[in-house]
Amino acid sequence: MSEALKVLLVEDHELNRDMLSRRLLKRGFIVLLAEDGQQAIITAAQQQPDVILMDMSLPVLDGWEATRLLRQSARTAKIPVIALTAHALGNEQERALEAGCAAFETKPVDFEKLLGVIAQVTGRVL
Amino acid sequence: MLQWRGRPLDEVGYVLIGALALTLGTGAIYLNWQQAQRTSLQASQTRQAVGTIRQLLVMLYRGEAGQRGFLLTEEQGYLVPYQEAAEQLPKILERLHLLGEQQPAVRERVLEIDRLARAKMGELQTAVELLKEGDLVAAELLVRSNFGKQTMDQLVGKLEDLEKRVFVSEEKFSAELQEQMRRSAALTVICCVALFALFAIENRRVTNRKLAAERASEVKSAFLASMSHELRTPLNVIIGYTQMQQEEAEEAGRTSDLVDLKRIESAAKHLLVLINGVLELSKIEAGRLEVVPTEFGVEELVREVTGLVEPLAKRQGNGLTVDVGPEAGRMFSDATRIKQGLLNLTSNAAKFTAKGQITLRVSRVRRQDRDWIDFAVNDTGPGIRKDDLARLFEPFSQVDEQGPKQGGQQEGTGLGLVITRRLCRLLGGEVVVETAVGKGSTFTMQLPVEVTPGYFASKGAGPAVERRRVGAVVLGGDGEMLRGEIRKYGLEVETGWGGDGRPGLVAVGMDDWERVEQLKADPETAGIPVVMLGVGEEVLMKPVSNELLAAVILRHGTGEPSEAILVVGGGGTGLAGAIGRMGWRTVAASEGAEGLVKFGEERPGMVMVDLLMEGMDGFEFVRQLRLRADGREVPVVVMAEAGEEKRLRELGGAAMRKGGFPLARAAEQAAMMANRRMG
Repeated sequence: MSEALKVLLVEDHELNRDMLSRRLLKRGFIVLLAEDGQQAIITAAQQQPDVILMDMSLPVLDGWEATRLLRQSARTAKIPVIALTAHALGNEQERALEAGCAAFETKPVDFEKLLGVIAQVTGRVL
Repeated sequence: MLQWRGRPLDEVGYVLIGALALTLGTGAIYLNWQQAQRTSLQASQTRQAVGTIRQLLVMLYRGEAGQRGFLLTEEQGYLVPYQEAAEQLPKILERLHLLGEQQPAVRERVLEIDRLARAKMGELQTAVELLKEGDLVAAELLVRSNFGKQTMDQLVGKLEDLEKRVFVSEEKFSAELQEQMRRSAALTVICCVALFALFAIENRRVTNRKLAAERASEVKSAFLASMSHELRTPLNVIIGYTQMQQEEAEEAGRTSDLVDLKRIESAAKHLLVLINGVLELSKIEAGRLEVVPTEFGVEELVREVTGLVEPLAKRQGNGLTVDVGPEAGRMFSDATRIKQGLLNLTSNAAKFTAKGQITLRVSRVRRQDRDWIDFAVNDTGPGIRKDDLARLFEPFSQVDEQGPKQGGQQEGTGLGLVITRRLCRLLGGEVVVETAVGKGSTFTMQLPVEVTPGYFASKGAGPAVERRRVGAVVLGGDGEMLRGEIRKYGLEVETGWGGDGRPGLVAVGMDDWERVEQLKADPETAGIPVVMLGVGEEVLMKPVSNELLAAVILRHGTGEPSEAILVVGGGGTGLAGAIGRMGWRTVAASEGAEGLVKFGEERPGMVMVDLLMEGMDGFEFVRQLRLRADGREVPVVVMAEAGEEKRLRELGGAAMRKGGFPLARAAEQAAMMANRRMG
């Protein structure tokens, strides 16, 4: 990896957050964390991550709304968002893409696949 | 609401009133009918009585006439009617007494008539006897005494009076009878109304219950969906940490931990499959599963499933036979759902059968004026007991106590059959089971060849899909051979340009580049996919449709799910993505050099390569690939654009044949045949 990618992980479930962040750290990512949609928007604006991994069912501000707001702000409009959700019903993917997500992954996350998607949306070879 | 044995009390009230009305009404009709019978019996008795009275009168007149005749002539013949009258009198009087008993009002008159009749008879008898003894004078005196006439007159008067009374009462009977009939009719109407009311109440109750059940089903589906979500979240954590721990154990060389961690991961993944099954079922029940019908070849579909099931069957030492009837042809239905069902049935058969035989037989049959495809999966397993058959299609009712298990792993979800049945019904079909304990079972999916658009319209499950026919036109080459090749794609073969527009595909013989150039030069036909049919290898002329892509992959791919398809070039990730969406695992490489590296890493089952690429192009890639020991036999599909023909031909001559791919000889033969025909 030429330069470490900065990933913002937005996840309200503590164990999921811990697990995923540790796995990302092990792979050499710089990992930023947020627990809800509002925190995610603030962190994204200040820290300018390369990619955002967003759980969709979030407190305060849900993932769909947060993504929409991220898209509207000039500072964050270009940061790709990958939606992560444990809902597997049909229209989840459409909803996520409609909100402006670049990609969609269903939990439990296939970690290797997720790395591939990150590479794809950031255009970087990991 | 108040309840009685699970029913609301007001409902119970209606039912009770209805039942009571019905009982009383029926009772009244019965009583009324009995009374009417009595009335009509009385009427018939009365008619008999009138007859008796008239008979008595006639008999006495005849007796008297006989007596007078005998007195005047002394001829014995006149005594016959008299004697008859004497004989019959007691019987007739007896009948008259019966009337007196039945109707006490006329009893007095009957006694009077009895007395007079006997007196009259006595007078007649006395005269006849006097004459018989020769005392003509005494007899004449008796007759002249006028006693006989007086008695007779009295008798006639009494009899007429009696008849009048009896006759009046018969009129009354008939009026009574009419009244009773009217009453019966009214009661019948009341009973009918009561019955109808009862029926209506019951009907409403059933409807209510059905509505409640539907509501319950909706609630259940929503519950299952949210429960699945809740279950997946902690599973996500378990699987994630386990995988992380595995990585760490691997790095640290703690192999003993690795085994246990793998067990945890595999159990968690099994749980995930289970949850997905539940979710799938709830989606079907909630009517949220979309049916996407397409046209496809039955044989191709079966082959794909076979590839997936074969390893599973072999693990238990089973043989797998697949028999697709030549008439199976094509279907217009949801291939993904059919595959899913077929996979469920065949893997079930493989799971419950050890060292036996599994047969998949596919045939086209005609039933109910429609064409159906029957997918019959037969096994030589333990069979299913009759008692278990009923529970077979219920969730989690797996009848696995008699089947061979494989060390407790991969026991399935117990949802496979339930889902298969629902899927089949969704496609307008059904699953049927035939089984014999100790001999095996046959599960058959019976599906209509065409899912009718009306079916979707009524279900609201998706838009009516217009059927797209993909016809192929064969140009040049050895017609028969090419036609056979085309059918392997599952495409229909048309003999020339169809009258109604362009074909979906044009097939040309091997090395028939002139024709390809002609087609591509004409703007009318430039957009039609062209496939050059060789044997073992394909050259696809762009643009390549999804159907064609799928057909080519099915034809060349091994069907092993573990084997990937290497896509070299193909416009960035576009082609790989398209293939991936159709369900194959793909490995993408942007150009030839990367393609060769990925080939070494992934050992794909098939390669698709673009001719024009930045870096190492397709020509060089194929050349390099064929030089490698492990790349000599892999099927390669070349995607070419018009204009590249000449170099491709060179490639075909120089690299492909020299490389010695498996069907090289057949390809040469085919080329020779084509040349001969054309020459």
